[in-house]
Amino acid sequence: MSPPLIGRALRAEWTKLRTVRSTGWALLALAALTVALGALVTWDLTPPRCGRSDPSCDFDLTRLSLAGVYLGQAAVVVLAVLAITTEYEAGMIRTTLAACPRRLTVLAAKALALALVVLGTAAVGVLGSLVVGRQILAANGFSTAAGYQPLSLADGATLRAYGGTVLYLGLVALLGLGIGFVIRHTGGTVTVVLLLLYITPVVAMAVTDPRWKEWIEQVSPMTAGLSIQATMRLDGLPIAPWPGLGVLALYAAGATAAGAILFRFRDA
Amino acid sequence: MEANRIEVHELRKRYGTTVAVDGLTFTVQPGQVTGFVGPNGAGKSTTMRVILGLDAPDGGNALVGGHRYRDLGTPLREVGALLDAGAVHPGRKARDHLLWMAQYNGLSARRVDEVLEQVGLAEAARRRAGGFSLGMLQRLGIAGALLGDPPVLLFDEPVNGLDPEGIVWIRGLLRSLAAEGRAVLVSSHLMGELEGSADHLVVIGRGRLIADTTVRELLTAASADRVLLRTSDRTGAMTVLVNAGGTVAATDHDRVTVSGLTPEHIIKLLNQHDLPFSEVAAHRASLEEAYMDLTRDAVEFAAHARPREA
Amino acid sequence: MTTFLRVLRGEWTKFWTVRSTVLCLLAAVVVSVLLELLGASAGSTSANEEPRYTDQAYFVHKPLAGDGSIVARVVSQQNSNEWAKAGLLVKAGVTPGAPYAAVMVTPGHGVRMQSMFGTDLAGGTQTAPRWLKLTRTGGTITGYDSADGRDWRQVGTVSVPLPRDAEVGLFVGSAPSYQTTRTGGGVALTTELTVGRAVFDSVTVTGTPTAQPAREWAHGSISTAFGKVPAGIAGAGGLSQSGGTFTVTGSGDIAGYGIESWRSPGDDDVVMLSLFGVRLGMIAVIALGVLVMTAEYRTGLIRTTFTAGPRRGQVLAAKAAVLAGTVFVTGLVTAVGAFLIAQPGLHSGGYNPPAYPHVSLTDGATVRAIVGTALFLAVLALFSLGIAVLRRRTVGAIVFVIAVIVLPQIVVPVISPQADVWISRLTPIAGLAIQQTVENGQVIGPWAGMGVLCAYAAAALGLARWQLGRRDA
Repeated sequence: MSPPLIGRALRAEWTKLRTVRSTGWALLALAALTVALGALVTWDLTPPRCGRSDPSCDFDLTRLSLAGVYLGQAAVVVLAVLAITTEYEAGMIRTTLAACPRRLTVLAAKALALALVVLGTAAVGVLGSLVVGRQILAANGFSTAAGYQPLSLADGATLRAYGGTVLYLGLVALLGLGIGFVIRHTGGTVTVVLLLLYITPVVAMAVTDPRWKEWIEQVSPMTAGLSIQATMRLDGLPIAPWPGLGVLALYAAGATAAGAILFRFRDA
Repeated sequence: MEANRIEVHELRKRYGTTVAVDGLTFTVQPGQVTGFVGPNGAGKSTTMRVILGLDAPDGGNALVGGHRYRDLGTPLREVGALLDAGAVHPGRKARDHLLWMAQYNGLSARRVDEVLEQVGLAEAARRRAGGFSLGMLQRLGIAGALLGDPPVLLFDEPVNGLDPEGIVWIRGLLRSLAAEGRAVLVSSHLMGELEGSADHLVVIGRGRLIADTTVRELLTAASADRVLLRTSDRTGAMTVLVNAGGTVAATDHDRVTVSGLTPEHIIKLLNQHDLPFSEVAAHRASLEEAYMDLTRDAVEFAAHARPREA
Repeated sequence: MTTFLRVLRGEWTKFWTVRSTVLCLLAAVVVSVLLELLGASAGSTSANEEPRYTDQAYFVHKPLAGDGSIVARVVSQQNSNEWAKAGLLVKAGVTPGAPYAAVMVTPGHGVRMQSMFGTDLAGGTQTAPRWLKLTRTGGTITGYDSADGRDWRQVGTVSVPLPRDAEVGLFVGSAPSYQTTRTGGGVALTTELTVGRAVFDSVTVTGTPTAQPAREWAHGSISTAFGKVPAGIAGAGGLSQSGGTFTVTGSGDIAGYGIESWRSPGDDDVVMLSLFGVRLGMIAVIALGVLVMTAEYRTGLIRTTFTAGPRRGQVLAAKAAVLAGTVFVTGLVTAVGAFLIAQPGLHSGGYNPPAYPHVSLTDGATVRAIVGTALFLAVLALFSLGIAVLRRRTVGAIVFVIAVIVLPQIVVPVISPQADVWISRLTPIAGLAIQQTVENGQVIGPWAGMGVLCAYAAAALGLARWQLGRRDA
């Protein structure tokens, strides 16, 4: 008596992920880059000299501590893309489909295994950057005495930023996997996904008109998605936290759907 | 028993404007090795990919044990296949490669070790596939095909790149798998590779069926009525034999190939007309020659421009 | 040499006969030009609707009716800003905005002659102590400087619509300094007041006075209610006089478009804006530089290549030459196209004189920026090629190069403004400084920046050459 198909598929895809070295490296890079860059951002941050009554004065300490995902997400992209494109490049996808001809099951199992691995590592890495940020900030003078609360998950906004950042990384993984199913070549996919994520800040630099700039920031996966990290001045964001993460979710869903349709109907 | 046979019916598949398979029908029976032969580009790999549900047919169907491959719940228990031995992640260990395949089909890790033992890779089980030789990769691919102990097996060009020892090993394996009652389909573009291992032959060219026959029938048909004659008076001999109703072709300055006449009749005629001859022999075609006869028209990339040597 | 030419020819054929090569080049052009189109049509500035000059300094003056001259020695000048000014000023009146001409010393830009918020003539590079002289003949003002007060050298002559009765005297100003600081919302450019201080002696005013020059000096701040510096923080200044020695402190600047000290880091560089698209297009160039090498490793073609051309250094050099040449030509076409496409959009977005003089394809600085952009792309492609040889795997190489080139631009401004400065100096992106055509406090000069990129490319190719020689194919 064997377990149901999706369970078996999930186990097999987990084995695939587990048994190549690149997975371990990518996950290590995810956690390390996230924590390291977060620490670098908070390293020389000192309390602002402006009046605390000025609403634009205070630093969004949670967001700054979590800035490491800007870099960490690149590792997620590489991991997600490799999970599918190496199968195509080696021709192994045929072995996979011979072992399980239900293609949507294969895709679902792959996505699920990948998402679980990424979410698990992200949960640790992002928490790590919060803890490191909290220590560095306290040492830099953001103390309770100066009127700053230490970063804590008990704070609703910080909890949202934490959970949202972990989800963000999960969605980036799905985005990479979906596009990988469409393009099927490692180099091409990695370039396209990184471009899609990092394009906006560069484009926004070129665009000087504020209305265009805001629109670009509302529809771009990275800028919109990372608005989930904001804990203050929410009115000033181009897009509110949850709708922003929703934008990224739409990208991920779109990419996965496109990947699924092509995978289902295209010859392997 | 319907469970262990492959039925291909009116199969059609095109890629863009190229027709790869054009109305192909044949059946692979259990208990024997079926050779699947045709020149490069004849549509063998396409047919195998369609059988395995990798490519969708444009018409007709291919059933394994009466089911479409895509409908099989645990396909590796029904069909084992070796398509491309190099299709392994170079960074993954041999055992892990088989492990995920096993997990997809609910097979135990113990079974993985069994097949590794069976193909002689037990020693290399924990080495990364990137460092394997072609022969080892081929064995790993065969291990994957045997994993689910399936009643139907497909091998695409299994002896490609193997050393003589490996070829002998594969032949033995194929025969023993068939002897256990399994249906075994083996493709090759060289008929000679199948001599001695195949019982039945499916020959295709340009996507169409050319012959679906046993090896014995094919050989008999190919060598049927041709007689080789060596004579110092070629012209005289040819005149006599043509007058007697034979079809005659000169192949060398002192050689003639005759068909339509038995060797006894030829000797009698030559003696009657006092013609000298040093040899009269019934021609025994090799499998390779029989195959060349069959596929002459179907060879897609034949060198038409080059005159054939006399 | 002939073998190298044969290898070169082989690599050229190999380069052009692959579809992805052409696609990458096409992508670089299309992406750059499209981003340029977007940037130019969505770009706007209101610089011309804002005040066009600032008129702020401390002025120690006497009336001068008709022709005359003033001589003084600037004994010392505090380096409060590279654009601090201390010198002689003749002005229609003390009202802000009144016509003027001045000759001055600066700590960072030598001796200058300036007038009418728009003319800036450079003299020598000397700093205080320095003798200065200003003579007026009708509306023509001539400035001189000298090391000893005897041997005068003319700095420049300007025409200024002065009334008969003008004010003449000593002035001290110090342009505000601009600082990037982190704020809660991100990074802000803040303006900080600086106060200049200079000591003058040997002051003589001579004229053909209808009335004798006043015996006493009047003094006070000239101050605009507008300008880039908020009026509230200006106004520090004063005079202390002992005998013939004047110690003057003052802040602010007398400047406008056309005078370099008026520029602030917030001002746009029109040429740089026109060439912005390559910041994105260069990703396709990186992909190309990597793929021409890794594709050979992936397919095993590299063994065929080294069989055909066993001298690996030659093969690498030929590959590099073909790559760099093609990318340079493509980059040149892209840069010229992007520049021409961007101009109409920028003009309609408000980038017009006097704030933004129109630039032409034939200006020296524009030519340098455009050719430099093509050069930047070519050298970037070589850097990518070197990395590709070292890493051999497509993903590794592309991710590495993008991480080194593109990520710092995005990530580092978040870290701190100081770190941003070092990124612009030390990472390969420094090469983009070749696009600068105006000087407003950049952290690295055009050719120095290109030098940094070239050093990276040379190091990558050098290592690649060494690796190729000792590694099995």
